[in-house]
Amino acid sequence: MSVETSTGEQALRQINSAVEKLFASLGPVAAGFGRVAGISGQVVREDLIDVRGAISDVLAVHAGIVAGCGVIPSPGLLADAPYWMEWFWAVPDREPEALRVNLEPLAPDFFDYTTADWFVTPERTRQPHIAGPYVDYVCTNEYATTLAVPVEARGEFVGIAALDVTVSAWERRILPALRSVGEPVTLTNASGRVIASTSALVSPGQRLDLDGTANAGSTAFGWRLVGDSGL
Amino acid sequence: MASKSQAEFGLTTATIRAILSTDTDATGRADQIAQRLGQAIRLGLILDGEQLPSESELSRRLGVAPVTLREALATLRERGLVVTRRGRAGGTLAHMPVETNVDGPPPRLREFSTQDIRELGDHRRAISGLAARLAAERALPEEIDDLRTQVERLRAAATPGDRRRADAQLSLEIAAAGQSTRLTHEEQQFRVEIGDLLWQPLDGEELAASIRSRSDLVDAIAAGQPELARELAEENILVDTQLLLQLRVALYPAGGPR
Repeated sequence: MSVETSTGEQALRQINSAVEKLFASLGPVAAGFGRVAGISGQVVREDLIDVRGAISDVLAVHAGIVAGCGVIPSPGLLADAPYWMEWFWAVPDREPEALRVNLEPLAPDFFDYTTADWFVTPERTRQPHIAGPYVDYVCTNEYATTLAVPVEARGEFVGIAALDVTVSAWERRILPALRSVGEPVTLTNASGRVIASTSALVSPGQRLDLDGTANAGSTAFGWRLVGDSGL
Repeated sequence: MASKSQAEFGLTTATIRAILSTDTDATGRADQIAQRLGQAIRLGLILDGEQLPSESELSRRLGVAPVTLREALATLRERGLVVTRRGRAGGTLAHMPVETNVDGPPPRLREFSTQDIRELGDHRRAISGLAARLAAERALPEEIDDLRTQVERLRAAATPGDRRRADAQLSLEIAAAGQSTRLTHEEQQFRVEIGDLLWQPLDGEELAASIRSRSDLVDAIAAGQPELARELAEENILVDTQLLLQLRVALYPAGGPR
């Protein structure tokens, strides 16, 4: 392993702290959603309007970093819609725009989010999760990651609160830290998909076979840092 | 902000984006908007009976002048793809034409010359072939699961319309599995541009072979065989293209030059 471990660790710490900041900003969104879901009686789509202020705040505070933000209820939570996404995406110099996806199960482009990694994993583990990078073709067609936290009300899973960060935004944020490592390094997700790299040999989206590869360490979410010698 | 009406799911952010990506001069703008909105309705991306946003809202979202939008809606009304309802609950509703000639060639095929069809085949081979290759190099197991689910939907489809919808979705997901936003965008464009020309009425052995070819393609992607995946994807498009050419030629009457 030829990555200078100390600077590699520094880079990972910086990445971790960027990730934690983003997750922390989801707090008020998740709390607002939890309150709405916990009200007695039927919950309807209109109730989720209460969460919009917190969603707008995330988009405003992290302008240029967070591409979209919102809450996605578990099917069956809302009395007036089996599936729903209260989701907004950032439009430069304009108000955030509501995302519209096809949630009609019979439609050819039905967006069954209950099978999406950013929904299933927090549902299963009840832990925050980072999904992707993946092509977000239902929204802004960006190459993006989704940071999602599970939301519970009265001990039951009721859905998730999440935000999207594009791979380009990660790159702007992370590359200086990677550059300070003395040699080319690559940040991948837990599955070996490249998020950012200072190596000329790899670029975002590539799949690296990291089985048995020594690496300079990993973040709390399984993101890994590998040197060229590990490829 | 989000509309309250549940019956508006189809006019999605992705569909609007695909409709907007028209790149010809302004003179044909109304025609193009009409063409692509109509396409989205025929493909079921905008559902039958779905109420379209108000004219001012829709022209804002499509970024066209209200007069251009009205012109486009008039064209769609003529073609029976939207209906206008008067009164308090009035508005413009999408109207899916009944698949009348399920055994015949697609109605719009006459607008394409054989050279147009060949060009389209070339373009699709370039896009879908590379997308398949990249998917074989880059897809993760969960993405491959999604592709298999889509092949099952294709197998279960009951009508040519359902099949072409499932097939277009499969192409889109392959491009997404290739981690390419640009190729995914191209596939979305194909869907709103020419989605209704693909998946011609097939039966028996031809239909089975056609579905098997998609399933083989996903197998090659799953096996991580980029060259094979590309070859199979291109072959599928060649077969589609040949069938379209055959149908198009048959639309010309036999006789002397006209």
